[in-house]
Amino acid sequence: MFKEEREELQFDWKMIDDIGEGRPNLGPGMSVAVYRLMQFTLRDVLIREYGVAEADRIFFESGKRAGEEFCRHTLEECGDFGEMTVKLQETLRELRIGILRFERAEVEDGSFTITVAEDLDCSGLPVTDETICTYDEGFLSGILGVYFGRPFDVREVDCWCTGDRICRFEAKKRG
Amino acid sequence: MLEIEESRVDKLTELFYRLLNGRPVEPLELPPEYPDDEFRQLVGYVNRFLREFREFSEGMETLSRGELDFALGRGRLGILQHLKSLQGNLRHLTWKTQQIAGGDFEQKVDFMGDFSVAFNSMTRQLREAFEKIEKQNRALADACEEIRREKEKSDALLLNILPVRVADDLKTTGRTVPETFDDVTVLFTDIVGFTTLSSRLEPKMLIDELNEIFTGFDLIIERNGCERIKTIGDAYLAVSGMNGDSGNHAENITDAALEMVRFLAARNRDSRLRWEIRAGIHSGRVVGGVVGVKKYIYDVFGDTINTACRMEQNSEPMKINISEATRAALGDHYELVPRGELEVKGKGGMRMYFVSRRREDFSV
Ligand SMILES: [Zn+2]
Repeated sequence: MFKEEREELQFDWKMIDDIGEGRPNLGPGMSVAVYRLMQFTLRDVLIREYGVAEADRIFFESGKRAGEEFCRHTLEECGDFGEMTVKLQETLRELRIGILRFERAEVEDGSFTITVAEDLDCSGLPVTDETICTYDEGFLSGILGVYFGRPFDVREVDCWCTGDRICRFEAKKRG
Repeated sequence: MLEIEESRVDKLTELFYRLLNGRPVEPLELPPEYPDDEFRQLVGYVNRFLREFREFSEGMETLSRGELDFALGRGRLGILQHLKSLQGNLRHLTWKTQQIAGGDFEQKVDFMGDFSVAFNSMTRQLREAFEKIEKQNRALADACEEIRREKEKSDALLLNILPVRVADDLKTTGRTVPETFDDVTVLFTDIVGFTTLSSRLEPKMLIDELNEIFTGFDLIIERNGCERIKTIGDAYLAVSGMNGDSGNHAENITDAALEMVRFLAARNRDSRLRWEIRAGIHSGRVVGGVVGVKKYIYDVFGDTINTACRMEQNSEPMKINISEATRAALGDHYELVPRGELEVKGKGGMRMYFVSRRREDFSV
């Protein structure tokens, strides 16, 4: 299941979902530091093995995969766009992923500006003049892609690591 | 020991003096040959501060005009970052407001302190007001529907009592004027021996019987394009030709009378109680109008009505007695039995005819 060789992606929500039974005492929560420990050690090794560009691509692709499954699992029943934004905002807050806000939404054109404050990946990291929330870029691209049924390009334009207080993403429907 | 020319320090002092007094300032410049020492480093920082401060200042100015759509450059100056956050929050609030204006009252603002509280409470109140209005609208629509139904009922009731024209007049103008109809035909029927029979029957049964017979008559009258005017006890008065299409009024009402006789004859075959009518018909001029203020009754007046009544009185059980005027109006479409001249009270001798049937070659 987890360690089979594969040509196609096989992730399924069921693979992670029985946390209540598995962690009766510790529960579903854990420290952000642990999440970052994993993300940044993984990034470290990936960059050494494959280079920065390839490591970024892998992060984006995994984030996108996560966003797609997240959308199917959480936002499936949402009707119109407004309802989806409310639900998305609520869920990201409840899961403590970040405070997501829409700054601009041109639904017809498929063009959005989205900000995430207190981002799980980057808020509080040293300022390095790099945007580093590649996983989030993929995550948003996956969500929008599944919700609108069209591929989305998402780019982080402001990040905690570029010296901003919030991460800002520009999303645009492809084609 | 770092040595700096006094004029360079003066330039630095002047720069901050101008800045603190709200005057425009330009970055400091050092000649290329100036050594790479601590002073050059200081000038570098001052210029970077100026650049970011100018960015902040211009952004603030744009924001103060209410414009949110401007790009802020990168910088690590705290005030610049806060401005960027403020711009982001205001953009988000604007977007939320648009969503709410579009009717999406589920939208909420989080983690913006007093803003969140005020905004969310505004949204809640908007939603409540909106729901209240919607509820009132629904109640209004229900009330309108109820009124429409009641009006339909009252219209139907009015039509039951009054001819269509008259009911329309009453509805639109609230009154009607009496009309003269120069050429109509009047039918009178009466139940034979009703007084005698009615004294033997229970009132309820009597009314049931009359109701059934008159309902049958009403249908026949309507089917033949005539109008029932009223019933007086066991008498039934109908007129034909008041609706404008008066061409066949004598024929229409004669057909109706024949049908009424047939209807009663058929009913008598299966009924315990047997009823017979006498019918009389006369053609001429009548005046029609509404009498009464609270209880509308449409009635017809004139000598033609009296004469029709005389025709009925001179008729025989299950026969239709018509006057000369009606005979003339009927032409030769019916088989008639001439009865000669009969004496009529207050009129002298009048020619009368029994109608046997419609001639087959003129059947409708
Ligand atoms: Zn970021």
